[in-house]
Amino acid sequence: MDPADEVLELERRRCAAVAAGDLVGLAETLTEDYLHVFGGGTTSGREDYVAELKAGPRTHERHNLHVRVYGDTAVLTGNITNTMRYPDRPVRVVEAFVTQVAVKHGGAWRFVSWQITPKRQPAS
Amino acid sequence: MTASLDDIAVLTALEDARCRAISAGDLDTLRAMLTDDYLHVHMTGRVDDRAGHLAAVAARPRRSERGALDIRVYGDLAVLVGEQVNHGADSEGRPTATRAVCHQVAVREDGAWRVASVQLTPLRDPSPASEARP
Repeated sequence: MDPADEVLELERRRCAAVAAGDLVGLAETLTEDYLHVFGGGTTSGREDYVAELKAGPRTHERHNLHVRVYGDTAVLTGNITNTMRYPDRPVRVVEAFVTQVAVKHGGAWRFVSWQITPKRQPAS
Repeated sequence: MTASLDDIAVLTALEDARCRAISAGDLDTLRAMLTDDYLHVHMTGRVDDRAGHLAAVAARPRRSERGALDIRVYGDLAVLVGEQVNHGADSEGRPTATRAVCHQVAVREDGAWRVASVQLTPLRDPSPASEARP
């Protein structure tokens, strides 16, 4: 399979795990040193990120994905519709842009980082 | 992940130079340190290519400062994450300072590191534990 297609397949697996609440499957798509930057600018490692998704189940719909491959590393960018369902709170939908970095190690691609930026109108 | 002290020093110097070029409005120097396929994600989520980013810097002068950087090197690709403060002015000339987290990707081509992407996410005040984190 083409490396770009392999990275897109990794992202499909990640989204499916998120939607299913499969936290073990989700963790398997992330490296041990994974770094996650949330929409408010806070950062966390893999364990804390997975715990956040346990507290607030969600779905990630991706659009207009673009992959740039640099050898055994890749940068995945694109839009996301992030629908969060925290208990006892209204459903919250955030449109945003995400950059992810993936690394191929031992024949398998996994994500090493993620940053999400919610979309908003620029200040006038 | 293998990050040599040399790589860390070179990447730190690259980022210092990028901030100096932005702050000086030195677009030629800035262009030279960005890859041809560079992507820039503004704090609003808007995306620019290299030409669009350079035009934005020219149109809205600013001074960029970085805090401590978390640098991770994966062969010929590096991820740099840390706080960035952009000092500028609003439409009435009043000084502004915007804090963000900056996630950068640098790639090494022909022995030289260049920046392949920058994404900025505005830093909100610490949220209460009950607030959702997108």
